[in-house]
Amino acid sequence: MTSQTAFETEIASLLIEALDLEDKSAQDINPTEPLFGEGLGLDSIDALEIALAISQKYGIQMKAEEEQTKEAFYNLQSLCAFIEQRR
Amino acid sequence: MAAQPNASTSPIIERDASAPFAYLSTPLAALDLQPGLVSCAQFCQHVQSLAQYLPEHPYAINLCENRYLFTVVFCAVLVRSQTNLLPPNKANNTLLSLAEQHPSYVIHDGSLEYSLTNNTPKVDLSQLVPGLAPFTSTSLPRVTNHHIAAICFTSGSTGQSQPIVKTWGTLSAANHHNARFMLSDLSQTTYQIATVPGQHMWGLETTVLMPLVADTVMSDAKPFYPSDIAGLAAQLPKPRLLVSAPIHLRALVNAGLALPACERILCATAPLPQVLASQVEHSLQGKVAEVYGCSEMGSMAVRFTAESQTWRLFDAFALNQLQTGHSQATASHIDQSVVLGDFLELVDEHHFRLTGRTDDVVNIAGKRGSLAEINRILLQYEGLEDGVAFLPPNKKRLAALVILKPGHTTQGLADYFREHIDPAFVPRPMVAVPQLPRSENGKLSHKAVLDCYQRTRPT
Repeated sequence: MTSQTAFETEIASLLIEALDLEDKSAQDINPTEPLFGEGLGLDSIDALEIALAISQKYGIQMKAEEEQTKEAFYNLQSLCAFIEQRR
Repeated sequence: MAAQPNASTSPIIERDASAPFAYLSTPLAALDLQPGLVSCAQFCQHVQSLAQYLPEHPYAINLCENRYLFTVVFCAVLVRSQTNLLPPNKANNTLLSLAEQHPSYVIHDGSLEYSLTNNTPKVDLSQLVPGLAPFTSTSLPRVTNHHIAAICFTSGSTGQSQPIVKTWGTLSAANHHNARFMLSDLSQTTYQIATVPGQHMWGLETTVLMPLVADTVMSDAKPFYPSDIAGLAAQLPKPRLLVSAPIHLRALVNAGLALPACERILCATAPLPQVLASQVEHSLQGKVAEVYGCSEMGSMAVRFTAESQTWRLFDAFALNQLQTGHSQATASHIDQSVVLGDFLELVDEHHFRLTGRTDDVVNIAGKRGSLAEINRILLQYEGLEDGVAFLPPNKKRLAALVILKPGHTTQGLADYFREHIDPAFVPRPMVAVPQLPRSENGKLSHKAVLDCYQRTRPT
């Protein structure tokens, strides 16, 4: 598995807390593994929770119709890149 | 204008031809439309045009994501005396089994990724360029009340789930009750912002059907994130009507955004906490009307949650208490009666309070599912020795305890689940255990399951 950067570990912890993924720890989330469907198995309800956590912590609002939002949710790596770019 | 109970037909639309029917936030090539308002007369023309184009099958699996196209299809299907099939989810197996059971075609607008692999005809409205032939008539025929307008399905499970048959007479009468109890105190035309899909009962009644009789304008969009909602609202005239669910409202008021004023907020699908109702009213400067209902009966009751916990039952409905403690609902416009998934306490003929949920029904993020059905699906997994899915106390998601056959993983089980049910019902976590706490006669008590689950939790 690809090792996490410090920021990826920070966001992984945010995901675990926001989504109540109690059987996982931050280190379990592979930065290049898909977050939705197969992989971590998240769904659209989770997307709403993640967006809320990100807006509260980093003041970034996500928009469903922006192509960047879809790309951001691909995996942990892309989500972190999205946040770093906008904060 | 009240529905005439004895009439054998009902109109599709009961609005002035010049009144606004829909607001489009995006262009629609299939109908050669630019963003902006669509009048009731235009809507009728679109329905007539599409009706000429539909295939000759008795059932239409209506999967349009764009709410305006969904509504045009829904009504064109009625004009052709066909029936809309509204699947509970878009899992491939769900669509396949639906198509196997009904001589049908699939109609969608290109916004759906599915890989249906049988001979079901498919109509992709996004490929209709330059679009449909214009139709000049601005009226729509009446539809026989006993015609089956739509078949909806309960819960997030597969084709085996109970189909709920909606005749046009039922939907048409319900539409008048809904408009009266949800909107009649509003004096002006309202413009809708809806976060809920038109395919499911709550969104179908309020955002697809209600504009056919009430002074409210639907929108094509389905805003999802708080900033989508704020963005759409900024395009719409006032007063606005937000149709939503607790999960979206909670995200909205906590997002730290400047929010648009919404005169009326309609909320359903899961219980709305009183505190959240007050926050929403403060943030959106409007009144929250929470609606109680179920797929079988549609909307049944309303309350202004910030002020009162007591529900006002719509006049057409009656409730009676069964000896088991469950409540049975009947309505003058619905043939069947239904035993409700909630326990309730009757205050008087027109009012009740909710006192708890029955064991089988779980509500995950506003979606109701049957635990028995989810467990039935779990137990059909080829890699499973034994297992049980349940809702742990104070959790928002189901969990499962499973004993897997050698060579099988919880990841494989999760993939299997996603092919069969709505992702909201996929248990998380799924904990592999050596054995289940079954009693001598093989029964699993709720308490034993929870105890066993607690022992597996990290402390």
